[in-house]
Amino acid sequence: MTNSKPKGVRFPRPLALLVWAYILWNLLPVVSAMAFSFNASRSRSEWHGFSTQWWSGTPLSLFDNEEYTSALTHSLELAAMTTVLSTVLGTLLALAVTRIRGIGRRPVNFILMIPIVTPELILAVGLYLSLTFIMVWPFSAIELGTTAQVVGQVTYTVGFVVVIIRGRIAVLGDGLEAAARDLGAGPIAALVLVLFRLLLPAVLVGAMISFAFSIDNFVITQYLSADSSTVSIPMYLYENARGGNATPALNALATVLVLSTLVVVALASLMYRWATRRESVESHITSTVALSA
Amino acid sequence: MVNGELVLESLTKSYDDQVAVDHLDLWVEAGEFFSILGPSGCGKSTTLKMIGGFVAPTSGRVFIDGKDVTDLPPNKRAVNTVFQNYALFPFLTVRQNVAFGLRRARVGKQELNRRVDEVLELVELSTLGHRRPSELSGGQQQRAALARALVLRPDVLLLDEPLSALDAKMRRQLQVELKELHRQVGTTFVYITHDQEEAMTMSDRIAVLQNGRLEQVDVPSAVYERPETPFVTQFMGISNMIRAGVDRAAEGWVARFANAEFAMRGSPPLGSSVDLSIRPERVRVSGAGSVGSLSGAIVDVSYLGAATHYLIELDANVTLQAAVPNDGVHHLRRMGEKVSVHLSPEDLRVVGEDQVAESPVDAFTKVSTDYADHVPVN
Repeated sequence: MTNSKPKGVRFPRPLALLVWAYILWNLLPVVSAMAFSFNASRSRSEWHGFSTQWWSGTPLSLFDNEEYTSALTHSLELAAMTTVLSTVLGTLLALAVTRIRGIGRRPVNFILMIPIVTPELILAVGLYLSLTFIMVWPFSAIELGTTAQVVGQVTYTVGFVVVIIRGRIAVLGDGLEAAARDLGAGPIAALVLVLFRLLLPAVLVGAMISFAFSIDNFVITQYLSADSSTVSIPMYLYENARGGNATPALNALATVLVLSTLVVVALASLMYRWATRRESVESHITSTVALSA
Repeated sequence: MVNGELVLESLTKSYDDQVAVDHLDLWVEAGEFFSILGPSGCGKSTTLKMIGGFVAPTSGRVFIDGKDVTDLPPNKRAVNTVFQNYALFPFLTVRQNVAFGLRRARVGKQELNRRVDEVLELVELSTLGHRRPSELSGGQQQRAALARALVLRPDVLLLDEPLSALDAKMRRQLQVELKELHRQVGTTFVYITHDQEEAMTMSDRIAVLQNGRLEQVDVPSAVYERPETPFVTQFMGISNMIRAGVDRAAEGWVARFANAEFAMRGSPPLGSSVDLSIRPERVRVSGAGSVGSLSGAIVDVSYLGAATHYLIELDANVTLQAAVPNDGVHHLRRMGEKVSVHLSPEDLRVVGEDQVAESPVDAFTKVSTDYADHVPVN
C-alpha cells in the first residue's frame, strides 16, 4: 500500500504530529495503568520498582484474592456466553431478515436497529423493570444475575451482529447458493456447505464485537446483577477504583481486561484473514446473477 | 438414444404487473446446441432460471424428456448451469469445485476421482486442479465452471452468457472450444446470449426473444437471411430499412423508392406501402454513372479491417449502409465521393409477415420451423 502513495506528495507535518499526539494520548493512560500493576509498592502513581506481588503471591494479589478471581471468571463467563449466543442468534436473524419478501421487510429491518440506537441505560433500566415486575413468561423465568446479564448483553449486541452479517449476505448475493442447489445440494446443504462458509468472516467479526462489548460492559451488567457472585470486572473496578482498598491489583485486573480484548481481536482478525484468503473472486461473487426466489 | 429433449409449454413469468416471459413455447431437440438470443431485459435469463428451477413460472410447464419438471427444485433436475461469472466456490480448489456435485450425489470415492480426472482432462485443466478459482485466468475459470456442470452428466446444460466477461480474443477461442466440447459430450446445450454473432457461430438453432416473446426460431442462416419480424431484422446484424411504395404488376409486384422501381416476385403486400430490408453486404457500390443504378454520395467511411462500411446518401434522400470487402478488388473510396448503388430485387426482403398475404418466402420459413422435419447439424 505504501507504494501507492504518489511521489512528491508529502504527508503534511502538522497532520503527522496530530496523529502521533492522538496515539500517545490514547496509549499513555492504558500503558501506565498496566505498568503500575507491576509496582513494588501500594502506590498507583509513584514508581517504586518492579514486582509481581499484585499479580500473585499475597492475599491481596489478583490471582489469590477471591473477589478478584470471582470478577475475572464472571466477566469471562459472561463474555463467552454472550459471544456464542449473540453470534448464533444474530446469524439466524440475518438469514431470516434477508429472506423476508414483501411488506414485512422494512419494519423488521427498522425494529432490529432499535437496540443499536437506544441509549444503553434506557435498555438496561427497561430490562431491569421488565424482569423485576412482569410476572409473565418469559420475563418471570429470567432472574436477575448471570442469566439476566447475558440476556441483556445479547439483546444489545445481537443488533450489531445482524447488521454485519446482513451486509455480507448482500455482498455475496444468491449466486453461490444457487450454484450449490444447481449441483444437487438441498436447501439445508447449500446453506451449511456454502453460505455459512462464506459468512464465516462476518460471523467472526460479529463474535469479536460481541466479546469486546461484553467484557467491558458496565451499565447493562450492573443493572441486571444480583449478588456479589455476579460482579464483573468493570463493575468491580467502578466500585473500588477510588476507594481505600484500591491497590495495583486493580491495575492488574484492568490489564487482564485490556489483554483479553486484544487477544480476541487479534485471534478474530487472524481467522478473518484465513477465511477470506484468496478471495479475489469476490468481485465475481458480487456480480453473480442475483436470483430472485 | 440421447437424452435431453427440452420442451417449454406456454411458459410465463410475471413480476407484479411486469411480464418477463410471455407464453413461451420452445422445443429443443436432444443433443442440440440451442441458443436463446435477445437484448438485455428480453426475458432470456428468466427463461433460463425457470428451466434450471431457480424461478417458479407464473404459468406454463417445463418438460425434460417428456417428464414434467416444473415443480422440481434445482437439485432434483437433471439440468446443470454454467453461471454468468461462473459462481465457482472461492474457498474450494478447482478439483473440489468439480467434485462438489458428485459428493452431493454420494458417488463412491474411486468413481468420483475417475470422473473428476476425466472431465478436467476434457476441459484441459488437469494440471490446475489444486488451484483456487482466484488463481485462474478468466478463461480457465470458465472451463472450471463447465467441468463442474458437465461432470454430473446433465441431460441439459444451461449456459448463461458464459463468455460475456472475457475479452474478444479469448471469447472467440472459447466459442470454438465450446462447440467442440458440445460435439464430444453430445449433451443438449441451451445457450443464453445477447451477442447475435456468438449465437450464429455456435448454434444449431437460435430462438430470438424480445419483451418476453418469441420472435423467431430457426437455423442461424435462416434467422439472418430470412428474418420474419422487424425486430429480428434489426437485431441480427445491421440492416438497411427502406419504406417503399407498392404497385401491382401482371407478374409479382413493383416496389418504388428513391425514384426507382424494383420488380419483386411473389404476392404483393396488402398495403400501398411496405418496409423492405437489405443487408449492407448486399448493397453493391460502383463508380458514379453506372447505368441502371441509383446515384448518391458517400457521407461516412468506417474502415473495419476485413471490410469498409460506407454510409451513402442517395439523391432521393434515402441513406443506405454498404459493406464492401477489402479484398484487393474493391478500392477504398473517399468521403464525399459520388457513387452508383446497385440493389438486386432478390436481396430486398419484405419485413413483417403481416404485411404479406401469402408469399413463397413465408411458406418456406414455415417448413423450416416445422420441428418434425428438422434435423440437427450434428
